[in-house]
This record gives sequence, structure tokens and C-alpha cells, in this order.
Amino acid sequence: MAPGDPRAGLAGDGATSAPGAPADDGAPLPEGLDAAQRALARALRGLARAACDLPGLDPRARADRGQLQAAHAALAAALGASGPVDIELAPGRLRLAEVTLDTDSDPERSLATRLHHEGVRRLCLSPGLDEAEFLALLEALSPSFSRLQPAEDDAAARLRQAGLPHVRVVAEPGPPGPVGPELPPGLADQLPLERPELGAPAPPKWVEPGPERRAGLCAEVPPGEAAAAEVLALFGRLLALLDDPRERATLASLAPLVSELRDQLLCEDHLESLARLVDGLAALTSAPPPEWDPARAATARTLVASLGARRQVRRLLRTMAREQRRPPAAVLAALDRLCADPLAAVASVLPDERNVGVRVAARQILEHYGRARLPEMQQRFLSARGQVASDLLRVMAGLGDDAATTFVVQQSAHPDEAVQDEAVWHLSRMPYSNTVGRALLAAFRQTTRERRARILELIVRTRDRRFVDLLARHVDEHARELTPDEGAGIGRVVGLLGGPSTIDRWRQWLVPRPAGARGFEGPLARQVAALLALAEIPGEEAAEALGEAFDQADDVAQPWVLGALAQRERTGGKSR
Amino acid sequence: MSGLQDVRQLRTAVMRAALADDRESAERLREEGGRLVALLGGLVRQCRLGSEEPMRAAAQQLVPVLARLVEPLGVLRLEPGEAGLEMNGLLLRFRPEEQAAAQQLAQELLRHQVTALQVHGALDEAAALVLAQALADPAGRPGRAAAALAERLQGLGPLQVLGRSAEPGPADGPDDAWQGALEHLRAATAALAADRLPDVAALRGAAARLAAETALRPDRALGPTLWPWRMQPGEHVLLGATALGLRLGQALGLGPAALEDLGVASLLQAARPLAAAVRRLASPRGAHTGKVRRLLALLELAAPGADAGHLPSRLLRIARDYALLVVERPGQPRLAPPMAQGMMWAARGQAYDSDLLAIFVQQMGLYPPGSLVELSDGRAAVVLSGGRDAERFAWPRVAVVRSPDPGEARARLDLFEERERLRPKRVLAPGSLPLDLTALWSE
Repeated sequence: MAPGDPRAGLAGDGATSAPGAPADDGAPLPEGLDAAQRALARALRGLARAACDLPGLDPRARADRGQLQAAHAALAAALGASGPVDIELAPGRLRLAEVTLDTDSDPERSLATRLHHEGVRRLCLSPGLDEAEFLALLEALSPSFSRLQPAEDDAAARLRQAGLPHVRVVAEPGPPGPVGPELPPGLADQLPLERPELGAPAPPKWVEPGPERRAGLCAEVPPGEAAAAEVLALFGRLLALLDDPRERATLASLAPLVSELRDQLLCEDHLESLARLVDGLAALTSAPPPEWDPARAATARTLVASLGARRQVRRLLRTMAREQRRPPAAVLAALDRLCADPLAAVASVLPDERNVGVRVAARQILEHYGRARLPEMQQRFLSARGQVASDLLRVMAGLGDDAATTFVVQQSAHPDEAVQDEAVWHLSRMPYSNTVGRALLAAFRQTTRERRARILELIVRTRDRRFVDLLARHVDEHARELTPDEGAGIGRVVGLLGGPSTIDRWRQWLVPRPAGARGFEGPLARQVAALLALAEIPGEEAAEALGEAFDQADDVAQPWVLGALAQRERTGGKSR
Repeated sequence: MSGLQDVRQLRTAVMRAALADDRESAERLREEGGRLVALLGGLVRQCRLGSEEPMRAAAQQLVPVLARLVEPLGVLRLEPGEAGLEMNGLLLRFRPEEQAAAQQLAQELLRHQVTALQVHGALDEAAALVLAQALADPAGRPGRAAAALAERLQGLGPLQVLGRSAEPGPADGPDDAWQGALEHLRAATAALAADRLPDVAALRGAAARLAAETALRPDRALGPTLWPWRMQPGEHVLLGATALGLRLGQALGLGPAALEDLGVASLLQAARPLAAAVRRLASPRGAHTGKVRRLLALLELAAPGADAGHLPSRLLRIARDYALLVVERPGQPRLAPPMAQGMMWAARGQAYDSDLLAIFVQQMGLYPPGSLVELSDGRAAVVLSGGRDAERFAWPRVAVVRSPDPGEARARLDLFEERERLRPKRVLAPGSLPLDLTALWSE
């Protein structure tokens, strides 16, 4: 049963839970819950986990979508079984009608703690919550580290605004109020608003704008994020405010807001608007400043320059559609304009980025810029480690030219395992050549035991018989260090590549012990390599050699001989 | 295809969540916050010891750290929470060498019965020392300790002490939404006047409750001159404009989030001076929709002339101008609602968005709520309902306020039902007849 399976907890596990019975993630559920309560507790746990994971999910990945679907199915099934539920939220604790459904003391992971902290006291869920509503619920519940208090878009507000028909929240009316002396009234009977100056009246009449016009008006304030046009309009108003001699506003005092507006437009869909905002800022750098704001040009320059910072570039990459195979021209144009060195700016995102989609986008862009700067890419690769080095290697493999390919191939024996994996992955997809062959052998010699098996598979696919000598020499030189399993792996490969002409060679690894004793001379790994090589070679001669080996084998070697015969049987060695 | 099957829809949800999930900034703030708490706790300890030189040194260190935090947060809020000390909702973590000082500060806050300490701006060294000394000194008597601390800190502009005692109760009765909005409006304007960040979350909650109330009793929202609550003229205009704006937004079909944005923008539209108000209202970090829209509305509504602007501004301009015309202010007698509406109608397409004004007029009717009319039989009545529909646009529900027959006073009539024998004959000047507003709504 898969984690999050709705059947979990509902299927015949008795009326009440055993003490400390584990939930699907291994943490125990509270004692004494009945089956329906356990199913609900698990479903809520799945909901909390899915909400936490949402920011890092890959929408294209079937596994990620499957996780969300399982979480939805679990919740739908639990609600279907229990009917509407009214869940009470307390720090670290979810309760249903005086029964504690679940506890979690981690303040950032616990759904109960997070929601309670943002003023939500009860979460009422009803059956009928479909996938679209579930997704909206996840978004409202996803943890955010941008929504620091005082936040008007806390969980209570987000849930209220999402308008979810099967979800109702009960929230506290608001945070504590101030105590002590009251502030002086700010408005009293004064109002800095003037009556409009209007002409003679005309009798109004009923006029119907029509549904299309109404819909058009509503579309001007779309739900969700403010439209780019609104952001740009606000920027325009701020520019006008800066030039108003009555207000005497300085750009530095509004710089945090301007930065936020700029960041809001740092999105693949809004790059045109972003360009217009940058134009506006650029104009400030050259215009003569008013006497109340002598530092305006310098502040504007700083705002423009900070667009190329790592944080901003990462934000832009996060908004790029992951379905694309190449970076959009608009993104490249934006990077060219915003960053002094786009390659360096994009490369700076990789070390701390855990989001797969962002890494993909970054690699695509680095491929674009790296084409003309291979030595620099190589230098960056050499000073990188782990996942970053692996990413950079993939970028260089994508460049496709000979120098880059040679460089990638050389890394197959890199001491960093992440890099090695990446390089081998590329080797497996390259057309075979002497260079690739040499790289495979080097990788085989220098890698770990676990990775050798994968490289041997690649060597088989090359069909290059030159590997027979090389691998045989490896066995001769390292037979005492090799395990029998490793010997078997190598034996299979040399058998497949070498064919009947190498039978004698493998016979030489099966020299009987002297004085009629059973068994063979030499290390067991070498014997096993010979047996498995013979198992892969078609024809009677190899079969005979195996038969002789069976007669001569001692108790240690005999199971391997039997294994080799079985292998031969399986692969139809006789008839090949 | 929808929901989890739709890759595009899922991508949008993931992208929005990922952009909001700024752990890097949070960690930076958390680290800096931990440092601030440790420094303030240490300063309190130094105040107890009374050694001047270390006190000054600690205050010197504290001032820049505080400034670096207030700048992105807008207002820094420290509260002893269930799991430890929190800064703006972030649970702070401390290095081993900071633990003692952090615990000390948490204990001092609890000793003074403070639920939260808010800092609205940078402090200088002297102010930091006053704060630390006040925290180190004996607490006031139980139940008044937080208020006593607040009194001691009065005059240190950016500091604010929070406790639960001043929180108004939840809105239960039909009038509470209006009263709540009024209280939050007063608090917000007072905060802005003192260059503090108003509690926009509370204002948004008030706007949401007001929107619900407006949807429930639209006629009351459309007639601000009939409201029985005591308030200053300026407040009356703003609250009236807000209720009218919300009603117009509802009639247009705006969603709950857009209505809340609209309500908050309307309540804050009189904030002045503009540059200071923008700076203050923009101070909490994050350019979210509500913030962008209320700042845009504030600036667009303040622009001279009938600058078109975005939908919330065009909509609020109609609501605001109507409220400005019909609510009496010092030196400005109120206009009769039909007159005010007629003047605006004459300017439609020039000063006002034609379609929005048409929807507004549909809501108000030919005789908007609050109009005093003389009926064809000589009786006088006050209009209680809006336009209802095309057929009843000119035939509102009214309450008789003058009649030769005393038994008919306060009688309710639906003029649409009486249209065969009765019609509005002329509009009377506002204030020409006494109205018992409380009685009007209670019947």
C-alpha cells in the first residue's frame, strides 16, 4: 500500500489503534484512535506534508503529481467516510471533538502550529473537495517565509480569499491591541479631500453596461498577483511623486518599494514591463536631480545594478516554464541588460539552489553563455564540487563541440562521485570513439565498486574487443582485491566481447591444482571471471570447458560453476 | 482537465508558493533577530549592574542591528510566544553564548506582562538605553504592568507596547461591523499621523466584515446620511465612501480578495502627506497584491483632475465624490442625494467611468437612500432603498416622516406597489425635516 493511500488506516486494522502505532511516515499516531480517526489523521498529515512540499515540487514529475493525488485521495476518502469535520487547531496539536488526532512539536512543519500562529482556530472540511480546490487549499496552506508579520495575507486571509466551498476557517479577530496612552487622533474632523467641482445635474437613468463589459471591468483586478500593468502604473505614480515639489520625496526613501516592484516584475511573463521599469530608473540616472534629492542618480544606479544580483536572477529563473528546452530569447535579453556578467550571475545561483526546475533553467542559460567562454566554464567546473560541478559538466556536455566533449569525457574518472556519475551518463549517450573508450576504462579503474557494474554495461555496448585484453589484465593484476561478484561481472563482459577465440585464455585461469587435488589455482575472483566468460560464449567448446570445470571444482568454486551453467542455459549459450 | 492533472495549473501554484517561500531572507532575519535579542537582553542586564561604559557599548552595538531589521520589516515585533521568543512570527534561535541574554529578555517582557513590543523605526543610543532601563526596572502592579511600561516609553516615538486589554471584541451584532471599521479607521489614521505603520491586517479584517455586512444590508450601505452612529465628518465621509465603494464592487461582481483590497484602500485614501504615507504603508516587506493596489489607489485618487486610473481608483472616485457631496462638513452643507447623483451623472464619461457610474446609479436608484421626497399626496418621506431593478428604479421603498395623520408617521411604503395612486412629487432639501435615525433602522 503506497504512502498516502486512502485505504491506509481504513483497512481492517481493528477498532482502535495499537499504542504508538506508526502513521505512514513512521511517526506514531496518538493512542486510542478508531479507524476513521486514524484515516483522517493520516490524511491531514498528508495534507500538511503536501503543503510543505509544494514550493519544491516539479509539476511535470509524475511522482510529484502522484504524491499530491495520493494526498487528495486520502483526504477525500477520509472525509467521505467521516462526513464534515471541524478540526480544532492548537500549537502542535490537531483535535477533533476532544480527541487529539495528531501531534507535531516542530513549529515549522506542524500545520496546527503554523495555522494557529496565523490566527486560525478551527478548520472545517466537508466532503466533495475536488482536485482543483485541493490545490488551492495547498497553496493557501503552503509555508511562506515572505509573509512575515505584520502580514495581511496570513493563512486566515488566504483561506478566506481563496473562496473554497468545502473549507471554512474560524479565525481570531486580530492581534492584540496597543496598551498605554492613546495616540493623538489622526483625522478628527479634518479631511484632506476636496469636494468635486461639478456642473449642473442631469437626471440619471437606468443604463445596463452588459455582462461582457462587466466581466471586462472585473478582469482589470484579476485574483492572485497584481497585474504587471498595476505594478508599472504604481511605479509611474512614484516617479511623479518624486518630482512633486510639495512632497519633496527622495528616491532613497522609496527605494525599498521600488525594489519590490522591480522584483515583482522579475518573471518570465513580465519582462517587457520590467524593461520599462528599468528604462524609468535608467532615466533617473541621467536626469538632473531636484534640489531636495541630490543622491537620486546614485540611488537609481544602485537599483538598476542590483537587478543582476544572485537573488534577483534566481527569482527570474524560478518563474521560467520548465517545459522549455531552450531559454526564451526574452529572458536572455533581460539578463544581457540586467547583469554585468550574465554567466557569472546565473552560475552564482547554482550552489544554494535545491529546486530542480531552477537548476534546469540555469543550465540552459549557462549553455547559451558558455558556448563562447569554454575555458571559463572549465575553470568554474574545476573549482566547483558535488552537484554544482555535475551541473556545470552537463552544461559543457550540452555545448557539443569537440573541446567540450573531450573535457566532459576526461571527467569520468573525477574523484567527486556526483561529477563521475554525470560524466558517465554523458559517456553513455555519446557516439563511441577511442576517446570515449579510454574514458570508460579510466572510469572503470578509478571508480567505486558500486559504479563499476554500470560502466561494465557501457563497455559491453561498445562491442570493442580491445577491452578484453584490458579487462583481463585488470583481473590479473587485481584478482586478490576483487570480490567474486566483481569477477563475475568482468567475466560476463570479456566473454561477450571476446567470443570463442578467447576460450583458451579463460581455460588458463582455471588451472587444476597439482597432485590431483580438486579446485583451481589462483584467486577465486579470477576463477569466477573465467567461468562467467565461458558461460557467455556460444558453442560446444565453451560448454565443454565448463563441464571440465564442473568436474574439477572444489566446494568453493562449484556453486559458481553451477551458476555459470545456469546462466548459459538462460542466455541460450549453446545455440548462439 | 483541472487541478492536479493540469501541469500548467500546477506549475502556477508551485511557482507562486516557491516565490513566497523565501527561506534565505527568513534565515537572515532570524539570525539578525537573534542577535538583536541577545544584545537587548545583555543591555538590560548591564542596566541592572549600572556600569555605564558597558551599557553605552552595548547600546552602540544594538542601534545598527535594530535599524537593519526595521528597514525591511516596516515594524519589528518581538513577542514571547509559546515556543520561545518570536520576531514578526519567526521563532528566533540563539547561539549557546546568546541563550542567557535571550532568556533574560523574554523574562523581562513577561514580567511586564507585555504580549508584544513593537518598534516602528530606528532608535538612537539614548532611546535604546531608556528602553533597556525601563525593562530592567520593577514592573507595575499586576494587570497594569504593560500599560505602566507603555507610559514610561511614551515619547520614544517608534516604540509601542502591545497587550490584549485594548482589543475590541469580535463583531457579532449588525452594528459591530460598522463600529469595528470606524475604530480601525481611527486607529489607522492616528498611527499614520504618528508616522507608524497602521495595523493593515486588522484593517483588512474590518473591510472583510464590512463587505459581508454591506452584502447583507445593501440599503444601509447606500445611505450614509441615514447612519445613526456618532462620528466626525471626516470619518463619516471615509466610512461612507468605503461602504458605497464596497457595494459598487459587489454589484460589479468583484471577488472577496478584491473587495478587501478596495475596502482597505478606501479607508486609507486620506492619508497625508502622500510621500510619508506611501513610505510608511509600503514598509512591510513584499509587494503583494493588496499593497500594490492600495498604494496605487492612494496615489491615483490624490492625483489632480479626473485622471482615469485603474479600476479600484475609478470605482472609489465615484464612491468618494458622492460621499463628499452628501455628507455635511464644516462650511460645506450637504447636498440632496438626487442632486449629488445628478451632478455626477452629468459628468459621466468625463470625470467618471461611464459604466461604473451606470452600475452605481442602478444601485442607488433615481432617489438614493437618504433622499427626502414629497409625495403626490402631500406627505413627506425618506427613501430607504436603492434602485432594486430597472422597473423599480424610480419607485423606492420609503418611510413616511411627515403626514397630516399622526398615525401614519413612520409608515413604510413601497412606492412601486403604490404607483397607481402615489408618486414622488419633488425632492426636499436635506435637513428640512427632523429624522429619528435610530428609530428609522430599528423598525
